[in-house]
Amino acid sequence: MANYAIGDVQGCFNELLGLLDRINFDPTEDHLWFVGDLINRGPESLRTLEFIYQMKESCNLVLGNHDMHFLAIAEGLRRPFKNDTLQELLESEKLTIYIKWLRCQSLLHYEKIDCEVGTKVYLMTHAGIPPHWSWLDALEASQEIKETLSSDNLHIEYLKNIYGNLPAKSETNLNRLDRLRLNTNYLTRMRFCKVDGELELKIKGTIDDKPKGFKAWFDHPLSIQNENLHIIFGHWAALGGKTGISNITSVDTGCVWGYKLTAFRLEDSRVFSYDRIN
Amino acid sequence: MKIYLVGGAVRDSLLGIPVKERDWVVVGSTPEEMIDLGYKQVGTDFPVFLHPDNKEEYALARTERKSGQGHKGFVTDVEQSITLEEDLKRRDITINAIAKAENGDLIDPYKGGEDIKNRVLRKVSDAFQEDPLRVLRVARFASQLKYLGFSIEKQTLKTMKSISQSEELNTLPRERIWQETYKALKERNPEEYFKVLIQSEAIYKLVEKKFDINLKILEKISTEILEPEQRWAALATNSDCDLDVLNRVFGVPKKVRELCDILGRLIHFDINLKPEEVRNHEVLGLIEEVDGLRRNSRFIKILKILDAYNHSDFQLKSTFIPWEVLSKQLVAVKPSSPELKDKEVAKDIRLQRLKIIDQELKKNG
Repeated sequence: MANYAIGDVQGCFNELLGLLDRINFDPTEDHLWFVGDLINRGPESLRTLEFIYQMKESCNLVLGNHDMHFLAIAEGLRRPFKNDTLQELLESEKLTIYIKWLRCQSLLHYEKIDCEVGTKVYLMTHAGIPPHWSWLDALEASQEIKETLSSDNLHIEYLKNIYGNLPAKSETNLNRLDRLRLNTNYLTRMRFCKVDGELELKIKGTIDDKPKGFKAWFDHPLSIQNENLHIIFGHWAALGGKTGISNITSVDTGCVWGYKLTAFRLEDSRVFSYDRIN
Repeated sequence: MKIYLVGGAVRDSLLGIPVKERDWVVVGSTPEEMIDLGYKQVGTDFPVFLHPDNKEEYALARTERKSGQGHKGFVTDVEQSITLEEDLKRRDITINAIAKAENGDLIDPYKGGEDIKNRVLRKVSDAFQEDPLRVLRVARFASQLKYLGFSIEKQTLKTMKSISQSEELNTLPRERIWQETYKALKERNPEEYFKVLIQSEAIYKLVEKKFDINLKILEKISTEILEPEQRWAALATNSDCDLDVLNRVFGVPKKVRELCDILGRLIHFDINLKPEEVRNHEVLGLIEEVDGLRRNSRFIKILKILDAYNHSDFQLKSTFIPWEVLSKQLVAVKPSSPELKDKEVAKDIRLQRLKIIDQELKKNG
């Protein structure tokens, strides 16, 4: 039995199958950790989601910005972008099942894993953990979002509200909706920030593209960090799967952009990958 | 004066089943004489005395005459001249109206012995219909003795029906109704009690409309649920009748009404949910609202009812949430670090509990 963290699939279904074949994935034994962005931009969002839904007992997943975007479109709150590839999924007769299932997912997952070097706590989010968050801050923020998104009464208001780059950082007296937007941005969109958590969401690119005064979130000293904790995230394909930090692992290797899909085995930190077909 | 063993003790020894308590009738005595002999008077409606040593109940032989409505609408007469036969005549059913003298002789003027042999519950006399409580009592005896093959004699059932059609039943204090119901719920066939209340139409008078009560459920779960409170909850929560009405009519005390409420909430919690749609905070919220962590043993007792539902053949939609395993794990949660500040401890414990719920739900998914 093993646990594999898998990077942003974004509808690259054949590559996902190829990767699972490469790791000899056994759904009765192994667990897959998906870092989010299961769908969109790639060719087969529907089949990807269908497949993961059917295997949901062997999967842990956290939601990414594309998954949130899909929910907002599916609820009629947003229009698809030109380069979105969600149409087939939106027309699926099982759409409501998938929506409900995704709405009940978390933005953060953690588990103790027995590794070759001893027991580690693996924590997975789509984008990362801002430097100023403690363990409790992270859990509390993700739980609040989960409760809101899964609520039949609150999720519409939430999905309407999460778009926007402000507030850029935590301040005392943030109202509930601003707090939810900021925390959703931390967990699903963050790349560059300041040590106090101030976000810069417009800049993408590599670490070297950092705006003045900002760093990649993982290049700051993290309040949450301790020797047993290992953070896994996706979202940032331009990193090419590298953070330069041993217990912070990026598994998004830009499959949808023509590179490869990556699986990281939690037990021994071994990396497997499968190149984009074509 | 003469002393006779009467009632349930005589009946049960003739049936060869364990005797629960012994009641005695004293003929040809007076309250003064009893007190002189060292007995302690207890009854207020009529003279009953406790034996100075064994504390068993000794009642002076008495007759009763209907003087008003209801169970208490009687004038009692405890004249020294009242005979044993007169005293036995005021009793409800023949198998309860047999006396045993000190030398072992049975005095059985209403042929209770024969009815025991034939397994019949039969009224002693026409005075039966003067006391509405007897409908409930006969129903209870039916629940107690069904397993021995007893059934209610036709004329007696007819009399019970006519009591039900009068206004007498509704004069019974609710507490008294619960007392009989509670005893019946302890018996081997509690469902028989309600069956008789339906046959005698008493239940319709009490509830004031037709309704469905799920006796099959009660019968099934009673093989593994023995406590009367839980049996009631199992029955009331699964009947097609307004729960509040049912609880009010049967004089159900608050403690038991709470069980019904909790059971109902557990059953309905995930009725329209797929396993993957169960929200961790709602699970924790429900457990906390019903005080399932602080009063974990009560909570687990209620969960046994859900188990019993599952074990019965009924295709009841029952919860797939592992409440018992969960609640035990949730109770055991300790702060994850000694360095946490007071304010953080509650947060930390809550978040740990939510995680446990996620994990357990996943296992059961």
